[in-house]
Amino acid sequence: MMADYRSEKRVKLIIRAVSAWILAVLIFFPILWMTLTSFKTELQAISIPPLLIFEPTLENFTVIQERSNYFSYAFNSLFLAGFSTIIALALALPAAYAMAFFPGKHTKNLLLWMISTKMLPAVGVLVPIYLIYRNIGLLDSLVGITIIFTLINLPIVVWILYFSFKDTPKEILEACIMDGTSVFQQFIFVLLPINLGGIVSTALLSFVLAWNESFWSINLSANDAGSLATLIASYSSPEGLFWAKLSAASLLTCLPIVVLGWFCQKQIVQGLTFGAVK
Amino acid sequence: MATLRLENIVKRFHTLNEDTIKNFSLDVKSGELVVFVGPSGCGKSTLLRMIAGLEDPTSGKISLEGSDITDIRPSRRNMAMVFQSYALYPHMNVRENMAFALKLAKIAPNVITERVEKAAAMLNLTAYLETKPKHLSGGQRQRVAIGRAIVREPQLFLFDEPLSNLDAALRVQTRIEISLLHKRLKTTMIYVTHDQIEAMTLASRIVVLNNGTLEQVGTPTEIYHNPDNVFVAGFIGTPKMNFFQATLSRMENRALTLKVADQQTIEIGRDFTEVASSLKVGAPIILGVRPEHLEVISNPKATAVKNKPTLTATVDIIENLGSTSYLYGTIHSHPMANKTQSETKENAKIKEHSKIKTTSLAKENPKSIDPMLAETRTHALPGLENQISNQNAITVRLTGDPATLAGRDSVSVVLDPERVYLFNGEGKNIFSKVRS
Repeated sequence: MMADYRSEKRVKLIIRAVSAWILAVLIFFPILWMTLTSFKTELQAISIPPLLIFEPTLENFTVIQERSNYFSYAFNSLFLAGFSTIIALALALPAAYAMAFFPGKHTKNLLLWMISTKMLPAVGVLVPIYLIYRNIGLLDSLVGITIIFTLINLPIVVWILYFSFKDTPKEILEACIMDGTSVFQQFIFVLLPINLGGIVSTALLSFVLAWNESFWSINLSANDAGSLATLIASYSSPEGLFWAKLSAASLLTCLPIVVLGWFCQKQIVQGLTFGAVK
Repeated sequence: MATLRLENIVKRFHTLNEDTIKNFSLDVKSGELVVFVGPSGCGKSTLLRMIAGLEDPTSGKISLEGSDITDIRPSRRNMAMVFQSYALYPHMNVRENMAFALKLAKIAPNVITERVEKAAAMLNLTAYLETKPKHLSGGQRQRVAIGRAIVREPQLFLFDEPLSNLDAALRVQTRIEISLLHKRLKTTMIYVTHDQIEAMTLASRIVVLNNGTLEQVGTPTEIYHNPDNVFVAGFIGTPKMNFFQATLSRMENRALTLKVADQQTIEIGRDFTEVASSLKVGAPIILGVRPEHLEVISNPKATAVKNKPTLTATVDIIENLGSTSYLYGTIHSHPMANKTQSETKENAKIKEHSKIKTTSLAKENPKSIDPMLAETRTHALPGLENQISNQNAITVRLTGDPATLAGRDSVSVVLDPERVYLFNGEGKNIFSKVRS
């Protein structure tokens, strides 16, 4: 009986491991294929049957840099993600503080309303926003896209910070008051250091979301303020689909953020679980 | 050291329909350790928070050392508070935690170091000055919280249930430490707790609060020996004072006869001349006796106890705590005579059962009461049901070896006439009126 139970357990474990591997490969396959394609020539990229063994070339990457100036787009992405995150934090920290420690009757409703704006299909407000941006001259400007990125991430940033602050016992703030701190000192000396983990993970998440944002940047920007998402999209043009170059551009877009994500895994997970892993 | 005066304090939270604190006034003398005690939700913490300035009173005046501080911000009140959850800053070590308030007050660094180290030495924390709170035990954390208060050298210390998060052994130890601290610093302290043992052991004076009103103020001895009312009598003392519903059936200057729990009649010999005017034959009385003032006797007919009031009770359980033991029982509703013990027990159960039924029936429809049980209701004391939950339960502290009572189904319990409390229909101590 004992042996039976043990072998049954082992079989179950093997089944689980095999299924997990299959699933992982399935998820990873498109990324692998994109990476492979980016090192092929355009001809190799569309050959049927697909080529698995070929002589890799860096031609796509040099073409992208020469034709589209990759670094200019990369700078835009960095600028947009960075500034939209900083502005979102600057707005969300006081908001989350007020809502977590001095909740009013409608704080819960307000939070729900904020997050509900994320449920609205973005395309529904594209035309009005496009027209507004065109009329005030914000189309294809870094300022305009930064504002849009800030606004789309703000609800999530406030939401996560709210839950992070809510875990801080109110008595600590009261101890601060007894000790004679101003609100600003409370923030700097106590609240920020205590919630540093939550704030860092929120910032990372906001940065990643802004980096990956494509809908608004494709529709509202072109050469001047375009992010890397715009660069990728430019390789699917009316003149045709350039698979190899498209893949190379995609790889160049994914790589920085994957590297960042790899190093900050722990913080990002913490942010997404609203401090449950503290 | 400072005197604190609270005048006509009222607190009403806009979310509640009732005042949390109802017209509360109190004078705290310099150097006193005053303990606010009461059940949860009685407003004691709210009161403390208003003294600290964390909460604004709806009306009333708070003054410290003669000057009005009602509208002064907390940090300027020269008070330090110790919180229930310690509220230490988790990212600062012990030294930084203690020094934080002083740094904000821009006190010279050498003075800060000196004060922190002095406080740490006093609290046995010197070895932990560079440690973060999460590496400390609960007791050490509490000492850091106390240290943080000491270094500020406040005029007034405020403690908000500081021992509730500690385990039983540590609670006793920390309690003693706080007592020693008070002795050494001689600073005025206000201490909030729901634990009457902490109140009794620490306080210079106890303030008993219930439902936002002050029930009684006095030294622990006064409160214990002369409770003003049923609430204070029941709240202070463990195990709780026994309460029995009774009717005054006969009254003389030197003796009262009470009919307890409808059946048992006892005569209490004591000088009642002073209070005679406030008593009336037939009036409902609540008889209160502390478990430690009751005695189980083996022979009720013996001459030594013959003239003392005696109740008979069935034994439910005996708890042996080693140094003392307690008997938990039920007093009989019927006299014992001519009945076998098993029959009596059965009767007691039935009576108990029907009583519960009556109460619930009475709530639903007051007219549908069985006439046979109606008598029980005549003694109902409105508003006091909470304090006197089970009027027939009795707790007795046993002085001798509890083993001698093994196997006994019922016992005779003698009351000391000088140590019984009589409360009138409103729950007021009949004798406390005389004192005031």
